[in-house]
Amino acid sequence: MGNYLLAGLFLVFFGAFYFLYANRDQIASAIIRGDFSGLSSYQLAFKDFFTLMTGVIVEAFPFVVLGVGVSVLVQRYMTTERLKKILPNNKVARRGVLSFSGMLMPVCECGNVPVARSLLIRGFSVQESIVFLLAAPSVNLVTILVTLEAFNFNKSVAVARVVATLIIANIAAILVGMLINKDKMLTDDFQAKCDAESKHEHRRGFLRSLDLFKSELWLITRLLFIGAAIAAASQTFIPADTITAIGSSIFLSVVAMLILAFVISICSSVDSFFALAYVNSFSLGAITAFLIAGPMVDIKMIALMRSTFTVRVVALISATVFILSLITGVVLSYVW
Amino acid sequence: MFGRLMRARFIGFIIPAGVAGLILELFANDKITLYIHPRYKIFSLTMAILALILVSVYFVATKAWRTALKPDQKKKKLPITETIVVVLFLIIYTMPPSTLSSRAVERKTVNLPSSSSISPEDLIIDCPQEDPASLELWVFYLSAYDPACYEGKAIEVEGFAVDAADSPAPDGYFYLGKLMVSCCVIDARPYALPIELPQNFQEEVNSWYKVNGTLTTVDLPAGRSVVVDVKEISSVEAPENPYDYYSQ
Repeated sequence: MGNYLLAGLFLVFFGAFYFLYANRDQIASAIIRGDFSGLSSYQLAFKDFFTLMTGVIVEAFPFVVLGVGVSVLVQRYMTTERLKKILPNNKVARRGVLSFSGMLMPVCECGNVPVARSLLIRGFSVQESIVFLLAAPSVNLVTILVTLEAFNFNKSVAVARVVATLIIANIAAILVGMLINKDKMLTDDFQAKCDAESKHEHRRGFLRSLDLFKSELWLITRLLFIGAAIAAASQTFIPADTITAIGSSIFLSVVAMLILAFVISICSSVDSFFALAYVNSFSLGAITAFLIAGPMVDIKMIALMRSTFTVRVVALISATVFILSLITGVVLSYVW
Repeated sequence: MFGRLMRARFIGFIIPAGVAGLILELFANDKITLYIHPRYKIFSLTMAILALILVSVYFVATKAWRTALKPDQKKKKLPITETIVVVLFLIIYTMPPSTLSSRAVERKTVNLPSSSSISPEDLIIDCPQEDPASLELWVFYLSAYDPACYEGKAIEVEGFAVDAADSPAPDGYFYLGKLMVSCCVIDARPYALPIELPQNFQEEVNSWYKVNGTLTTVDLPAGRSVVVDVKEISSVEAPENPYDYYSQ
């Protein structure tokens, strides 16, 4: 059903462009000779769309390769027994350790999806993988140092970012555990993959690892294309400044920055520099909310998360992150 | 036929290998910075090569060519996601490398030197030793340092005439700007300096100019601001790479 909806949107999107605005000769000239001079505003919008989409893919793909590589190494060298020996037995303590494990893996959020999948395959619970997935992009050395550097006039932005991320990641994981039936957390395809892997844990040869690398890389690349296309379309057709223009009150400015974080889909390692541009227009609380929510839930991440989790899990995570980031942003706006 | 092609197993490794190939091609033609910040160049190159090697080794070691053209029976007759991805991939692969159009700039807030919005006690009074290396850094320095540091200082900048829809340039001025990329083009934002319009000169929006002049502080309707008093202005060709990159 979802696929057909996506296909419908895709056809409407390109169909509208082709039949309403396209001048065939100019399009051919743009594609064949790179001459964009004859394009109308609508056609330039589509050129921008593909430029932005290519930018997101070229930027994120290397991180996906790194993340898939780490994921394969985890699956090859870390047996369930070995991982469980390293980590505490107590569930809360284990979640605590997983919350900070991003410090050892400074991978952007797109790269964390395959790692979270490998944790599930290795027998970790859905809640534990969610804690890792949501916390690791912000609670890692690169992101913390960059946030400290960007907001060197107020170090508490970095502290608030890390603390709020840890709290929200754990609350989201707890809520998923409480509100969603265990059998309804993972997609059917991924559940089948987990079941198959648990039966064949001993098959960890080189060829098996290569096969795993190739299939995970294709899965995540596929979703990266969809996420990049939606992110580029939303930025081309819903300008960021339309969103920020509504930020006239504290509440609305936090909402505006959260929507911006969702639409812009920027990497956690550099989002601080991007947010810095809004310091004069928005409260620091709204900007901190942007830094908290963006790496956990954005258009690109939702597309990637759907490789593993069911719609209801992704919806619950998104709602929790949005509401708690909103509360954090509003409270910080009043406190600072 | 088309559905059978989209279900073929080779799609699963040809697209990731194609993306890696696209990155290598952009790197080889020195075009990769049209999409990402230069600090990611080596990392992107390394990961693209790694992906290509691993996918190639997979292809050879698992003898995947034997089944490459066979359709995946588990997939529907026409797998929608795969079809969309293949179409999008073919478009981005065949399109020549491109930069954002002026339309993208018109839809974003222009960052201007804004010393008037910073309280005087927050301005840095120890003047920097070196001049900023990019237009984005000029805007940043002129916002953060005491304007006295730059009063009468010579400046040479190149950029395009920016149409700032939300804060148009005051009468007698135009904005000369560039797009600044922090991570990849999706976060590109325009940075601009107010330029005093020379007599008998009318800028053409989105055209590129080289400006020589001196910096001076004036009172504009929006507040006190540093502007460029023009000594010489000339039209120049738009550069192949129009971006500045985050460097602070």
